[in-house]
Amino acid sequence: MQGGVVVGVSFAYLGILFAIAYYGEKRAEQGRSLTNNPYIYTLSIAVYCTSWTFYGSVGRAAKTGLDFLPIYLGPTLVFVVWSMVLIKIIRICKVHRITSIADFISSRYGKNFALGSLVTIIAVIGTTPYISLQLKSIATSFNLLIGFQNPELPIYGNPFGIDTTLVVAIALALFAILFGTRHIESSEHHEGLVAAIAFESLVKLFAFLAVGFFVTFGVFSGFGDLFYQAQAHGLTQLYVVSADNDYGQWITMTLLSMAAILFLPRQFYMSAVENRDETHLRTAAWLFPLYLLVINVFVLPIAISGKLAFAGTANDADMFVLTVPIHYGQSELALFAYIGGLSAATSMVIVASIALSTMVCNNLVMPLLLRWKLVNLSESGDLSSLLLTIRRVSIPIILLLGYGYFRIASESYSLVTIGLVSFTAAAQFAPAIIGGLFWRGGSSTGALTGLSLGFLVWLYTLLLPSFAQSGWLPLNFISDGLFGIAWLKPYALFGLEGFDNLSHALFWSMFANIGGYVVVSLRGELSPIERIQGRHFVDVYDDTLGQNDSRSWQGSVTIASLQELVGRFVGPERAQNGFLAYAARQNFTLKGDEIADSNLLANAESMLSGAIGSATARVIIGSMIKGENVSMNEVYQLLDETTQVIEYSRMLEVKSAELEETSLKLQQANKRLKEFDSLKDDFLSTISRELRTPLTSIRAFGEILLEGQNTSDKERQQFLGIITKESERLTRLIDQILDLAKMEAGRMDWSMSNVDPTSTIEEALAAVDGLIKEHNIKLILDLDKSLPAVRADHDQLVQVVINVVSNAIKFCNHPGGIIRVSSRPGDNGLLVEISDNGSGILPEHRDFIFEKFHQSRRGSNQMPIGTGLGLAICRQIISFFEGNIWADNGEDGGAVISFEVPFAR
Amino acid sequence: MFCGAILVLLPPFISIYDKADFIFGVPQAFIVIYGIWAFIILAIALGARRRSMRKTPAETALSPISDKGDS
Repeated sequence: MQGGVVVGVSFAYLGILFAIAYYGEKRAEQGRSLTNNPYIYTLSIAVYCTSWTFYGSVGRAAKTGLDFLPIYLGPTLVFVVWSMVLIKIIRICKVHRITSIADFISSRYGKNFALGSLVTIIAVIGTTPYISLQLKSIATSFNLLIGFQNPELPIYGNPFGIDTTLVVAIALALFAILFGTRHIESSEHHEGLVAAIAFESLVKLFAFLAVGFFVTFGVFSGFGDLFYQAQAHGLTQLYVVSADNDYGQWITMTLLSMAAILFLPRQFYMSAVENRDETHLRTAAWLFPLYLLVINVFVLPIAISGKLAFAGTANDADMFVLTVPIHYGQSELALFAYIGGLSAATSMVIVASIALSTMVCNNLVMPLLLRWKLVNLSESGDLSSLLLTIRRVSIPIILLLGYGYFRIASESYSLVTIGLVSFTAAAQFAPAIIGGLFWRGGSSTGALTGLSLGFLVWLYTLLLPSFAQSGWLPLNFISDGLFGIAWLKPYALFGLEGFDNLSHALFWSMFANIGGYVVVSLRGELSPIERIQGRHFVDVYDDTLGQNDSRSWQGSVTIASLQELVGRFVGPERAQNGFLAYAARQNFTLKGDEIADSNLLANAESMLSGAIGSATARVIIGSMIKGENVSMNEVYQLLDETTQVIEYSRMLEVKSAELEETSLKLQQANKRLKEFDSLKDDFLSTISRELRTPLTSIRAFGEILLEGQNTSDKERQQFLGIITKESERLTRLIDQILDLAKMEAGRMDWSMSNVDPTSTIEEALAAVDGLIKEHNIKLILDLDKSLPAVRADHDQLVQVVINVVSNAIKFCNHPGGIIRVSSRPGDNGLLVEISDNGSGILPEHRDFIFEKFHQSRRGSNQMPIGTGLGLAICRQIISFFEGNIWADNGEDGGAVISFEVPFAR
Repeated sequence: MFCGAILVLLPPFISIYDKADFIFGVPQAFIVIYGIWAFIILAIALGARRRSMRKTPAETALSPISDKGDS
C-alpha cells in the first residue's frame, strides 16, 4: 500500500478527532453537553482497550490460547461491586475536586506533598512501558501496512528513513499538547477530550468486529467451521486456558486487571475524574463489561485464522489483525483495522499523557516551585501560562520516556508482556487507595512506606530484569542475582521459585506494599489533617460532614486580591465568573475591598483545586494568607483548650454543688449551735437558780442558827433538817452534772451484767415510794413478771426508772395524780412505759425533752422545777444499753415516756 | 455475587470446564467462560436497575463553580 495514503489517512483521522473534540467543547460552552450521558461515559472508560487489546490479545491467544481473557474478566468482576468501590471513589473526586490519582492519594493522606510526588513518579515510570507498547504497535502496524508486499514473507517498510516509532512518538506528543493543554480548566472536566475518546472507542470496536466478521464468516463459514479446521491442524491447545492445569498466571492476571481498571492513571482519570454524573455508572456497570465481551469475541477466531494462514512462517502474531486481511487481499479492511489500532493506541497515549502531565504539573513541579519560592505569588502575572508550559513540556518527556523504554526493552517482548509490567506498577496504588477508602487508620507515612517498598520491589523484579534481558544490564543480574548473591535473583527473590515472573513480582511487591502500609500506619500517630481527610474519605456519604476542610481558613485577604490570585491560575475571566456565580448562589454582592470570609476562601481553594490539584491549591491559599490562617494544629489546640475549659467548669460545678451542700450542713450546724447556745444560757440561768435556791436557804437558816438565841430546840432541829436536805439536793445536782459529763466523755465506769427487769423496777419504785406517798399519788403497776433478763448496768437502770418516775411525779395532776408503770416485751427487747395523767408534752417539745438542760415550762406550779438533766442522763444510759427512749402522749392526754432495752442473749 | 463470580472463574473451579472438548461445535472452555461472563453482565445490569442510588451530594456553599462555560 502506498505510504502516502497511509500517512494521509492517519492524519485525516487525527484531524477528525480534533474536530470532534472542538465540537464537544463548543457544545459544552453553549450548555448543551455532548458527553453528559451514560453511553458516552461508558465509551470513554473503554480507553481501557488499547492496542494491547487490539493487537496484543490476538498475539497472546495465538500463542497460549484463552489466557488473554483475565485482562477483561478482572474489570468485569470489579464492576460487580461498582456500588461499593467505584461510586465511592467518584463521589470523593467530586466532593474534593480531585484531578488525578496522585491528587486523590495525596489528598486522602492529609494533602501530603511527598505522597503526591511519589505517586506521580510511580505513575510516570509505571506507565512508560505501556506507552512504549502503544508506540511500538503504531509503528509496527504502519510499517507493516506500507511494506507488506509478499503475503508469505512480510517485510517492514521504513518510509521516514529514521525510526518510525520516534516519528510516531513526536507526532502523538504534538497531538496531545494541542489536544489537552490549550488552556487551563477551572473545572476538572474536559468535554472535548471525552467526546473524542468515546469516538475512538467506537472506531476500534467496529474495526475489530469488522475483521472478526470477515475472518469468521468470510474466510470460514462460521465459528464451527473455524474451530473444526483448527482442530484438524492440531491447534487444540488454543482452546483452553491452560493445558497443564497451571493457573498461577491466570489468577495473577485477574488480580492485576482488577487493580488496573481502577488504578491505572488514565483509567482513574476517565472513570472517576471525568465522570459527569454518578448515575451514569449504573449503565456503565454492565455496558462496559459488555463492550469488553463484544470486542473479545473474535480474538480467538482471528488468532486461529492467522495461525492457519501463516502456518510455518515466522509471522508476528501480534499483527494478525492486520496481516490476515492483507493475506486475503482485503487491503481496505486492513486499512480500517489499522485505523482501529491507531485509535486504540492514540486514545491511550492521549489520555495517559494528559493525566500524567497534570500530575507532574500539580503534584510534582508546582509544589516544588512553590516550596523553593521560584514562583512568587505576591507578584502579579499570569501563572496559567506557567502551568500550561509545565504540562506542555512534560508531555513530550513522558512520550520520549516511552520511546526510550521501547528502544531499551520493548523490541524483544510481546505487547501483553510489556503491558503487564505497567499493570503491576498500577497495582501498587491499590493498598493506599482501598485502605484509604475503608480504613480511617491509614497514615501518610504508612502509604509512603508501602508505595515506596512496593515500587522498589516492582523495579527490582520486573523493570530492571527487562533491561537486563535487552542487554542494557549484565544478564547475570538475572541468573546470579545482584552482586552474585543468589537470594537477590530478581526472578527468585529470597529463594522464592516456582512462580512465573509476573506472579512472583506481584507477590513480593504486594507483600512489601501492604505490609509497609499496615504496619507503619498502625504504629504511627495520625496528624489532625490526616484524621480529618480520612474521615472525609471514608465517610464521604455522610452528609453531615462539611464538604471541605478549609473552614479553618481565616485571613484578612481582600476579595479582590483573592480573585486576582485565582485568576492568575485559571484566567481572570474564569475567576470572575466563578466568583460571581458563587456570590449569586450565596446572595451577596462582591465588594473587592471586603475581607474574604472562610467560605469564600474555601471556594477559591476549590476552584484552584480543579486547575492545579488539591495539595497545591492548599499551599497557595495557605501562603496567601500566611501568618493569619488557623492551622489544623492550632484548631486542635483551641479545641483542646476548650475541652479543658469545659472540663474545668464541670469540676467547678461539682465543687459548687459540694459547697452548697456543705453550707447547708453548716447552716444546720449553726442552727443547732444556736439552740445549744440558748440551751446553755438557759442552763446557766437554771443552774445558778438551782444552785442559789438551796444555797440561799442553807445560808439563811445557817445565819439564823448562828445568831440563834431565840430559836427553840425544835426550830433548830427543823432548820438543820432543811439545811441537810438542801445540801443533799445540791449534791445530787452536782453528781448528776458530773455523771452526765462523764457519760458524754465516755469515762463512765459501767458494770454490765444480766439484770432482771421486774426486780430492778420494783427496787427503783421503792426508792421513790416516799415521794409518791408524800404527794398522794396513786401508782398503778402492770409488770410482766416472766420477762427475761436484760443486758444492763443495774444501778444505772434503777437510775433511769427513778428519773422517769420522778419526772412523772412532777408533771402529773396535783392533787389526784396517777402514775402507771408497765413492762412487757417490745419489738427490741424490754419495753417499759411510764405514764402520768398530767397535761402531756407539746409535740414541738418531744424532741427536746431529752436534751440537756431542757426544762418544761409546763411543770406543775407546786412542784420544784427539775434540774433539766434527768432525762438527758436517761437517754445517755439507754443509748449505752443500745436501747431507745422516747416521749409520747397517752390516750388521756398525759405524757408517756417509754424506753426499750435489749434482752440479754 | 462477587464471590460467586470469583469462585467459578478461578481455580479449582476453572479446571472443571477448561477442556478442549467441543459443545455445539465450539470448544467447551470458550463457550463456558464467555457464557459465565455474559451471565455476570446480565446480573450486574439487573442489579444496577434495581439498586437505588445514594443521593448525590447536595449543592452546598462549597460546591465548585458552575461547570457551564468553563471548558
